[in-house]
Amino acid sequence: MPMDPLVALKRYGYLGREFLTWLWYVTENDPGQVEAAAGDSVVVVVGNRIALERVRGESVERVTIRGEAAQMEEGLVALRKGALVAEVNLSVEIGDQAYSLNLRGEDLAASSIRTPATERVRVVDELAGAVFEKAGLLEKLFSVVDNLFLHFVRLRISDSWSREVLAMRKWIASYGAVQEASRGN
Amino acid sequence: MGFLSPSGSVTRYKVKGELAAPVLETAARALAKHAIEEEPSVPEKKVVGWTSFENPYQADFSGSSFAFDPYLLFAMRVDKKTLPAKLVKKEVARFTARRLAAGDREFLSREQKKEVRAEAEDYLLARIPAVPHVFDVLWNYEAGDLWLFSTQKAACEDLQTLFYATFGLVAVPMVPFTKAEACGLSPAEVDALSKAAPASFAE
Repeated sequence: MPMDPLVALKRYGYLGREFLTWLWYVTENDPGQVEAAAGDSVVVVVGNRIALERVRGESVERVTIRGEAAQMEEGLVALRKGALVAEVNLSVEIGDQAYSLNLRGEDLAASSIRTPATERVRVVDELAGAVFEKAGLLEKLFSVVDNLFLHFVRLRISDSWSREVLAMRKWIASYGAVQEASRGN
Repeated sequence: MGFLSPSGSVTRYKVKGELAAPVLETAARALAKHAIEEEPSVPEKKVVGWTSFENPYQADFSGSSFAFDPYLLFAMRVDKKTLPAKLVKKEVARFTARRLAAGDREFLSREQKKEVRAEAEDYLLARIPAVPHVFDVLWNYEAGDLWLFSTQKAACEDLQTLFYATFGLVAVPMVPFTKAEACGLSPAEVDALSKAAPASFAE
């Protein structure tokens, strides 16, 4: 019997945040895995915004980072302190089409979704065409998100997950090593 | 028009069950029956109902297309009246003075104060116009995918309630665990996932 969504949200809310944290790791370190999961001719990269949350009892510490790769290193620092990615901006290329969206870990809700431009509806007769075109574009985008999520979930319950966690820890720790080395110079 | 806007938000649901055949007629009847009330007989702080996608400010589906097989496209409208606290305070004072003038006591009981407040709010609700909030809804009834073009929690709750009242079908929010269940995991995989514990990525 399917789980009650409210129970699922409360008990397994961490799954979405782990998914986004893994997605950041894998886009940076193993794009081949992303392509294998998301489909041929699909490129997924983390865009210009990441929000991280660290839950400590009842309180939640939230850090939002905007900008390019240099600023994103702050995110790795937050991960080292035990935070997880709560929301991320993703750029998705499907073939020659460019999309972007913000994905929220807690409930997988998507905001600021941008799809390739569709024709403007000027007369009512053009509505049907616009509906099919826009729905098709959104379905393509969500199919990529769903494929990535399904891949993550299967990895999450497999024997390979512990190896993946170790690799992620190494990646997260690597920034600390770089930072300490730069302080030493 | 959130659905066709260049940038938008989506909360996704999986619909449990199917509409009775003939699907389009069933959907059209149900939507019309639960179309938003433009002028409710009793003034309410919040009124929720369906409108067409093309004309969200008219509670009338006639002349509007909503079926684009296999998609049904319509909108949920939430009309809200917000009573400014200072205005409520003023009307409560006015209704209190009137009630006291009509009686022979110098004060109102707790129960009477409650009644006066309700009277003042009803008075204002009947006079203050509602602010409409429109949220587009796309339903692929063949795949059972329902998309609300908003991520506002209140709108999501309104959608689930109105959708069930209208179609007698449950819209299950696709949060991480339910999404995994709906994504094609086997029962054994779902069971394994249900036993998972949070990972720690920090050393």
